[in-house]
Amino acid sequence: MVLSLLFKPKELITVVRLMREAKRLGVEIEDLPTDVVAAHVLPKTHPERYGLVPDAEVTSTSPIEDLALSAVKDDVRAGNWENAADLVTTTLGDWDRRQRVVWALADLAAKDDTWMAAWQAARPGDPHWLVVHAMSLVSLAWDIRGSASASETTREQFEGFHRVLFEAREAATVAASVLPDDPTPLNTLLTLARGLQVEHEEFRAIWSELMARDPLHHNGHMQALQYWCRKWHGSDELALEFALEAAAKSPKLLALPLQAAYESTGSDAWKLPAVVASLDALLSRLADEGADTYALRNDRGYAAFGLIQLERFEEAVGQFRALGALADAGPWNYFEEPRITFLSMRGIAVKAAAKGKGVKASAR
Amino acid sequence: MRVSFRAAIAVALLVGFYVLAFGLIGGLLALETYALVNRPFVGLKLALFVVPVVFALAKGLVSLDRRAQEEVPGTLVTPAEQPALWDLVRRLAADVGTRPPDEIRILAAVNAGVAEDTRFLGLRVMKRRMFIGAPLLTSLTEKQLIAVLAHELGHYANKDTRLAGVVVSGRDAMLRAGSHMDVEHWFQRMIAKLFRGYAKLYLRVSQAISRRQEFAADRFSASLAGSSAAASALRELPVIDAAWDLFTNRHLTVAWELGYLPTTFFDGFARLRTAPELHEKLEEIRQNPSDPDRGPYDSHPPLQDRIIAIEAMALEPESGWGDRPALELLADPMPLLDAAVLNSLVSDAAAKERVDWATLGHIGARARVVHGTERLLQTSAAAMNQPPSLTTVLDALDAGRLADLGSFEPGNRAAGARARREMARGEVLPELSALVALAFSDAGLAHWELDWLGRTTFVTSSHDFDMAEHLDAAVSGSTEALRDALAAAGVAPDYRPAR
Repeated sequence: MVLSLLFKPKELITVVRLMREAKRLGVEIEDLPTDVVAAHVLPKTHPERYGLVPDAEVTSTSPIEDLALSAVKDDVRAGNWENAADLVTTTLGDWDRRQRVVWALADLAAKDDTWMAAWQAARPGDPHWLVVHAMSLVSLAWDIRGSASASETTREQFEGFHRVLFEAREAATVAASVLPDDPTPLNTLLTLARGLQVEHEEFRAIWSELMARDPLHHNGHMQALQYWCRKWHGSDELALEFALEAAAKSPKLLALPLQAAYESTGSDAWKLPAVVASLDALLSRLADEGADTYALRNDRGYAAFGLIQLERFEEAVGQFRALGALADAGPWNYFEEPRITFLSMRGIAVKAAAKGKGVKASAR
Repeated sequence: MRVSFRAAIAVALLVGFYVLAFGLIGGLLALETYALVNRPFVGLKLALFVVPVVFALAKGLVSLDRRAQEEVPGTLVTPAEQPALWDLVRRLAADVGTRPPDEIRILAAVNAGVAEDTRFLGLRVMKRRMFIGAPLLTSLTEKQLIAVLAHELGHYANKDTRLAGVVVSGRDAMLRAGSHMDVEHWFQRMIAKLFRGYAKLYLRVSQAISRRQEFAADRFSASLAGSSAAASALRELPVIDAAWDLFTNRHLTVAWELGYLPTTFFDGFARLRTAPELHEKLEEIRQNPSDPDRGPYDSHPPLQDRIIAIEAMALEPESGWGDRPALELLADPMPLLDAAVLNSLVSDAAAKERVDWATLGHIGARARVVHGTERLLQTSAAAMNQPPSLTTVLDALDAGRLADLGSFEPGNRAAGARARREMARGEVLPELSALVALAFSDAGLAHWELDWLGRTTFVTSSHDFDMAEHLDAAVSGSTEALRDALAAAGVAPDYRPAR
């Protein structure tokens, strides 16, 4: 690696600068703070000239989108469960929101479940408690396993992961039988199917149950796409096939083929006509929308990423302009440092667009 | 190439080995003498080179002849003690056309063989010994044993390969060549290399002879015991080997490490051989016999080829041999075979306590369980600042200290207290379950049984020993029901398993 740097003067200079910086801070070069490295490595651009927010203002923290949810999360952290329980109850029927509320509360319950115990004691048999409880077990299982690769995960972590996922499956099955119209516990089953390595046949059965309750369940489609990915239990082809089918159902799901292309292990997925068509359809849909919700920012993020892959840099800069300072959604949140990933991708797009590289937006 | 011609080359190579070594030594000494006489100063300098070389060569030659002065393994049986076995071996030797062994020794191994104490790379024989593995005696029929022994004696038959007997002993000696060299010393290392290079050449020349000898030895097997008994003996050897492995690894070694030995060995082995839980596994080995790893210079052809060759001969057994168990050849066999096992164990075998097999199974399983509870006892004692005991563990659970009793970290660094508790539950539950089982066992209400595969079963006479619910509740922080059950069984509150 060191030798190859000799033939890349620019990178050599960067490395030398970083070494000097590390010496100044008295740390090893690997232990330099990300911000310091970013300042040296990120492409130097002038974002404001292109109507983009300055690097320093970009953040990966989501703004509060659901005030009520935010409030009950604070309540729960203070030990009060009543409002949270009530909010879950009132979301019945608004399935996408219910999914977000249940998931957020389940994440809290996975860390500390004393408030869940109080809720259960005060309202024994509350079906909404069951729904949150089942999802919290999935979250707990993943906390036990962690996100490291299998070789860096201990036997005990795997055992705990599977044990708790089996409990989650039981709990979700009970919740689904108590609330027969609610897609949320079925989505829990769908989510944990990956960890339990459920067979295709069985997965399709859960999927059709979910679709019978909410054919456009947003998170359900996300979970199913993950399942069909090659890294889980499907293949590049199965994932794309699933995503294109979903995109054909509703403009709301137009970003799914882009996500399938992103997950694809082959390099040419972005250039597939079906994927490009989905991207173009998504772009025209996004033209009338802002970036106020997480889901919109997620769509725009994948659109920006795809545009860069297709060397449509000007259009990509347009998506970054719409995203503004928020680097909180996909695909950036896939990375350890979403903000840095966002900034480096934005830098690539701006630099290339400024040099007049790639496909001009006006040409289309 | 004809065997006799190859054998002649092999013997020539053996002799050549000495010629080479003595020639080198003689030449060097002559050179040295010449130098010392004519140019003393150069001679002195040359001596710095010659002396170590001659020393190393001499040492190498000695190593060829002198086996490490190890004790000859096995338990000696005299013709007076075991007349039937000796009669059989003598008759076989006569049939094969070689002289009978001077000694018969019983080994605690799945093996049989004839070995000679030799000098001059096997060119001169001192003593011939026959070794017979005790497990073979208990597992083969008389005919199968004859097949095995006839094969071994067949290696020394001189009918068609006059020099081949020498070749066999020569191989053994050659494999030892240079083994006495000091590899740290570069000079000796070099000489060792020279010896080994020569040895390899010899082994290669003799390899084809050896292979042919194996088939020739198998012909003796088949002609004396009959094709079907000879082939079945070859099929049976890997089966006995697997059973003996299981017997020593999962039963004898485990007991030994705990300070115990069974009162008798071969009744246990006989029961293991016929145990239903092993039947399927052993039958599979019998149907697909595979070769054991015998090292790179082994001369045996693949087992399957030998079986096919023997079956193709389709020979009838010599009359007079029976189908009875080989064991019936021995007078009062059990003490002899057990002694063979005891002799193979290191000297402190006498210090081990001798118990029957059932007791041994319980002791082995219990020790394993005790070992599995030590971590929980120690961690609880540390957490509660109390002496390690069952009560201390239950107190810690009542005090909501479950998370502190675990030793594993969740994978997500941001994981909360609940994840820690859940991981600890997965660790503590089986340990607590083992501790409770020990308490019941030590109270005389239960015991462990070990099957011959080495699996343990917990056996209890108590009807209501289903503690699963009580254990679950205890780990979740309410130990009352478990404490009641323990008290009802008469377990002392401060119970702690003794080692």
